[in-house]
Amino acid sequence: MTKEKKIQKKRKKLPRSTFILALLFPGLGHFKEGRFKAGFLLSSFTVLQIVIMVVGFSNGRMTWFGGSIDGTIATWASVLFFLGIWALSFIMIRRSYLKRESGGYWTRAARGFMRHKKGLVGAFIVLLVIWAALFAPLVAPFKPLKMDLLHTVTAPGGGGHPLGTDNFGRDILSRIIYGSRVALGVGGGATLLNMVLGGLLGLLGGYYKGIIDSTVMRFLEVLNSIPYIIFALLVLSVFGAGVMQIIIVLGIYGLQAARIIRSEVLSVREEDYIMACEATGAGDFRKLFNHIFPNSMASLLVVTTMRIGINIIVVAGLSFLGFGVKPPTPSWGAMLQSAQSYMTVAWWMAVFPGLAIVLTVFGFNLLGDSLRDVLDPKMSASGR
Amino acid sequence: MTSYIIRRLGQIVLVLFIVSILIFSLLQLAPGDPATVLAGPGTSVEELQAIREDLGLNKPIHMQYVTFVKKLFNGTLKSYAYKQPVISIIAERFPATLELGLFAIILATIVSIPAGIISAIWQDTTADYTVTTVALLGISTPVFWTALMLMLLLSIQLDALPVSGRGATLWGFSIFTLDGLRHIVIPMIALSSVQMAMNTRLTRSSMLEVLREDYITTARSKGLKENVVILGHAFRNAVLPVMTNIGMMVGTMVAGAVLTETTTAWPGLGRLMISSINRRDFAVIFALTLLISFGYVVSYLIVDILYAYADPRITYD
Repeated sequence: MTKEKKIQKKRKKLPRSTFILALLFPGLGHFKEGRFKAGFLLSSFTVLQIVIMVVGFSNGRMTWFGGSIDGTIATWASVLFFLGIWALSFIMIRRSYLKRESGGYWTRAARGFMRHKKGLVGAFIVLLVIWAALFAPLVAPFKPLKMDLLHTVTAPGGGGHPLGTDNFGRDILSRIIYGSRVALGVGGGATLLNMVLGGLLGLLGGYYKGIIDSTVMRFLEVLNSIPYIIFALLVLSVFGAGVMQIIIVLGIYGLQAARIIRSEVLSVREEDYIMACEATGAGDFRKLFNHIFPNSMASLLVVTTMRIGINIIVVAGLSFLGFGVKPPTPSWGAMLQSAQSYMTVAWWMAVFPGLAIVLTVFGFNLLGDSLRDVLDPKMSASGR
Repeated sequence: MTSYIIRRLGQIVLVLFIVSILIFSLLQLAPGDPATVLAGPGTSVEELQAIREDLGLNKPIHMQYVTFVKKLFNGTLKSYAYKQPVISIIAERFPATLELGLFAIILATIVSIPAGIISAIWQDTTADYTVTTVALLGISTPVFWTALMLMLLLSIQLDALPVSGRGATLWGFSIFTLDGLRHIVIPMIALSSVQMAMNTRLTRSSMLEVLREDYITTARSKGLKENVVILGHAFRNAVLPVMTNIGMMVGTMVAGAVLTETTTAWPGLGRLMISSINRRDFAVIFALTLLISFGYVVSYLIVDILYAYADPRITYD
């Protein structure tokens, strides 16, 4: 009997009932296996999506073909969303039987993450915000720009507006839901730029060192001596405010990620396994992308998650100061700016958009904290 | 040590030089002619020409830079909007920001250090969970929203504090008068909130790391009182990263001040920055950015020097 066979014998077989439950409804299989947290996450998003689709089809906002573009996109996005959740739950169940004792670094990290209560709460919040941004036209009770002139500055509940209306009679809840698109789009876009550019610069800089590396590092030092928001304000006042400009400015400032990746690469490249890899005749490219990059991936992921939160706050701050996304596009910062003039009469205008920011950033920070705990035991030893 | 400080000062000058070039070229790219902004509407062509001459705007760009910097240092660079020397405009507003920033740092420090220590020594208790959750919420909340909420609660709903502004001052400081004290509460709490949260998290993780060390076990087994172990042995060793963070606060406070001062109408440098950007007052923007960068890099230097004093193992050469 070969070694492979022995392992095969040790594996438990996937029970037929779990298999059917998992196929039947995402999350049910997890419940049966006693994995309630994962089951809750999966099934709650499925239920949310079903509710949205039922409502969307019954009031005609969602259509399979034709109709409004928003509605068609939302329909097909929901279908993909369903398939995604369904496949995810099924794969998770299967994997838990296939690789109970083994699994690589990422499998173990994912398993550790599922046991991490904080991280799951964070993931739930983040997924909820992403979901709201994706399906904004279906989730939002009103159009974000629709003015209800009979109900301007109405308190929550009045005129069918759950969170009240602003000075133009626009529904606050709908504007918050649409505002998540700006927050995630701009904040996330900037962070993506940080990650790609910063990661690449850090990777190449840490590996090759040399003149380009030292130039980039000096440039980052100079940037580091100008506060984030002041740098952004200056550049935006020169080039004009707009989505692309903000993404680029924050993307460039956030290159600070390069420093962390660089120091990570500097330590990884001295490891014995890189030397071993070199001895097998691997070239620079192979060493960099097959060995060094995966080994610095964890810190890149943690840095990125924490960075999204910072970027969302900065984007809101810029909009609050009038240097952000141009009105009437709904954004949380701009909503707070207009709320300030109505503070004495309309508290809801100031409270709810801010809560949306705090909730979203809190979710990302929870996620980032937990990822750090799970992915980087070295760092988590120094406190959660 | 002396040679290290001199070398660092040299680096600071170099960094500030590059920053100044960066800002100057950025401002050159901005739309709008400074001379027209400075002169205001209804100025004749001759007068405009005279202003250009005076500002050196008709010279090549590198000469313009030299004149700009020269004028900044001999105090004759005038604000485009206020028609006063930039130096005096900044000097007039500096005490307000200094006071706000200083008290925000003090508040952040005296709250965060005990909170961090408590949360570390009682790890995984309700107290710890409360502190860590509140701290995580703190770093997730934008300062301007904190300011708005405090205004809503304390000024509008409870009518306990004035909504905005600075109030009466004595010798340029508002803490010496009751009216001024009432005005500073909201911006001070708002500005310190994020740093308070960050410093709490840092103190906690730093303490947890130290509490795991062998010398803490030794200290305990010697029969020392727990207070002595925590404060005398653990905290003293955990203080270094915390101190770095407090030093860094100087810089982050400036950035936070831009938002806090705008929200609460605090007449400091942050608000000056925003109004200057809106008015395209290049002279003030240039001087202010350089000043802020100077504050930033000098605070880094001070932290590094203090490091060497606090920890004899660290030497610079």
